[in-house]
Amino acid sequence: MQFFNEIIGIISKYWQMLLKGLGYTMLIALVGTLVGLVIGLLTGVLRTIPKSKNTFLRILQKIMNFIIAVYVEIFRGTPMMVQAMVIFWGYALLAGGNTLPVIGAGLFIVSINTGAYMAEIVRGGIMSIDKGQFEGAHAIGMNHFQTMFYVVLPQAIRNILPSVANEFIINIKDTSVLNVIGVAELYYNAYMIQTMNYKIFQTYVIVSVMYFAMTFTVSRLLRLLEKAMNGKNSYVVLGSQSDPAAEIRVKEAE
Amino acid sequence: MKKLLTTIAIVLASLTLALNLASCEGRQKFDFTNVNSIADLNGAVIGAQTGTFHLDALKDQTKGVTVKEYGDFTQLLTALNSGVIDGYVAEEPTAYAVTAQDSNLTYLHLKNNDTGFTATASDTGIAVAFATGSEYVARVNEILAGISEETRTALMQQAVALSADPDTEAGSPVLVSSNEVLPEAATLKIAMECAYAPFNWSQTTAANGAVKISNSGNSFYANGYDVQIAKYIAAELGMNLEIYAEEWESLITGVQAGTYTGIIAGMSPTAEREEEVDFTECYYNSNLVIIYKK
Amino acid sequence: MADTVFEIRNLVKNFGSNEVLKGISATVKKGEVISVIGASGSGKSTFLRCLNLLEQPTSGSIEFEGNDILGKGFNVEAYRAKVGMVFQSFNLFNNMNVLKNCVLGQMKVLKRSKKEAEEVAMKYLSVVGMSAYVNARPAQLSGGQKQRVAIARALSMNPEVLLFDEPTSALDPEMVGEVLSVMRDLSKTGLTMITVTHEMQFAREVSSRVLFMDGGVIAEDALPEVIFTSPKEARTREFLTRVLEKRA
Repeated sequence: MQFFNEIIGIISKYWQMLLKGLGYTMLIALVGTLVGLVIGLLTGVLRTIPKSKNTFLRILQKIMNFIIAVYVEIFRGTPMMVQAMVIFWGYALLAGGNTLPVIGAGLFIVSINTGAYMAEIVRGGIMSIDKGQFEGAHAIGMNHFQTMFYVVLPQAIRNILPSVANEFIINIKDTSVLNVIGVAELYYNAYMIQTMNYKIFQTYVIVSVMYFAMTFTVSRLLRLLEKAMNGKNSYVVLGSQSDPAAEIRVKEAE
Repeated sequence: MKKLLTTIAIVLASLTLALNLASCEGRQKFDFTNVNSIADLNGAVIGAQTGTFHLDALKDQTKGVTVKEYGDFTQLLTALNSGVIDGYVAEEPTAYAVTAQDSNLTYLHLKNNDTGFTATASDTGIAVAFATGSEYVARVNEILAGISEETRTALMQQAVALSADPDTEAGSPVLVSSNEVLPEAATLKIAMECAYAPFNWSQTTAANGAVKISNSGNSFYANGYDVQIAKYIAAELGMNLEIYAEEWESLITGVQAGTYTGIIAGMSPTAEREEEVDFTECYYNSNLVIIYKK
Repeated sequence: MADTVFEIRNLVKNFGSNEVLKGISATVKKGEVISVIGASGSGKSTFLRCLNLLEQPTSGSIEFEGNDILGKGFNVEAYRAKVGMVFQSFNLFNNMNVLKNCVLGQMKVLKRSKKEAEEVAMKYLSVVGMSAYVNARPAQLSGGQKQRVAIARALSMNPEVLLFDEPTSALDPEMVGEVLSVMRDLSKTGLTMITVTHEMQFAREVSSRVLFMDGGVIAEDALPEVIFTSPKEARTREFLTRVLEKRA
């Protein structure tokens, strides 16, 4: 019972800090995932541009693809904690002691790190779209960007939603590594609390429940979003053979 | 919802069980009753913090001791309480603070260069660090010279007393500067771990002259021996003080980058560190002792 | 010659070392309804796909209304808006309902207003008999219905030429009729049509001209009654005998 009393004691004393930490964790994970997705979509569109006939543009394209490939490999291939240290202290050393604002630095690091993963996820998502969808759009005169924006990406996003949800959940957990640069997210605050109360186990039990509550909620919410994106499973036929004003509701077989 | 609550209840219950099991006597405990010097530690499992002189001294100066490394003091304490180690190396002020908080703990009263570890002032003394070539070193040395040995001892005793219950107001500060600092004066940015009582710790209120930690999203305040020294130095320099919580490993980088003006973090002026930063004279000297369970 | 739509000269298309089109020359005049027939692998579909540049020809020239469509700086998108295409596999946009499928190109390529685009779309959806299904998504329609929507989508762009690439090959037999009947009606409107097809009955009755392709070249180019009753080439006769026997 003492264990539960200690848990309750920690919560009642430090609940504000815990909530604040949770807020920052959620903020960084959410913004990081969204910005990462935008980076992924952007690189996805750029990487699928058909080869230009113009030599200059073709060289430009090659350089761009190379830069994207390097970006993806470097940020996927090094731990986020290391990236955080390199970027934060690298900036401080170059900028004569000025530091990036920690929350801003955290948002930046998680965003570009997620972007590298998203670039590959989106590429896979675009490749999963039937070639006919591209041809259907090209055949009515739509250019690459219109085709991507109106036809391919909406379908690709629906297909990659489970992977995006996965990234989001990973981000909620991985923001904890930002404590090394002093971002006051949930793990950082938990660390500070346990330096004050010397109760490592109890403090981190509370925090693990908080992390789980976040990831579980997010995974359920995104499941709902997936369902919503699948669209209605029924449609209305306007007019019947005998009555032009009739509406017939047709339900898809499940 | 009900299902979720049940799940959480089950998880917590199994954790409690695991905790109880973990605290069972598993390992033969070392007996400290007849230990008078570090030569008597043969057979003990002793911990020390990674990257400290404590760890080097423990490895080099003892025989038959199993050495375990941990990243910070809370982990050492947890390791001790859970029975993973028999004791750990700490500075005497830390030992006061820890044993004052937990009556199950006590410590071996070792004396440096006598019954305890062989150590120079640069090993166990602690000094303020500034960037190499900094003009602050000379000015701070002057200020430190003005703090008597008695004041230092009194300040440490107060810090130890406060560390047991930092958020409750208790008495007046020992070390106060008479200098008035204008708000528009320059800023002295001091970095420390804020997790090394009684030298520096974190608390949730501004009680007992604690200073807000500038990089923690306004949630925490720092206090302790180092913080009081930092306040005094800043005031004497005619500067405003800002305290930053920073990882031990990043303290020196932060000063080299210019992010922080100086480090007041219970840091000893070792030869390796002297190559990276400049140190002032020591502002406290402490014995290395070993904290253990009664 | 104001009424020449396509002037194709010596068109060659290689896929790697595989020469699929070996020099095709043909002229298509405004209002012609042309059927392209031939065995699988004879290059019919590749020929059609070269016409709207879904495949880039290896050599040769294609002129559309006197303009070289393979030339530098030629506006491919604007050209494709004028040359509609109906695919074997429909290629409707899966993420949009029937109406949006027919409206998107009009708004984004032709820059029509939403209201105008919807009016045009409704007009052509009525023509193909799909106006009742504007709310349905492609996945909810049968193959025949999908193909009729695809035709309406192409017509909504008001193309000058409509290309059909085996429009009934992916359909269940009972749905072939509804699509062919729509195409039959279209052929009477004066629209220029080029259809790659295996439907010999359709080719014979509806076309004004039939191209028989074999081994990457146009082996015979004649009126349907000539091709189907007294072909000049032996291989045309062989092909037709084989195909019509299978049907019987």
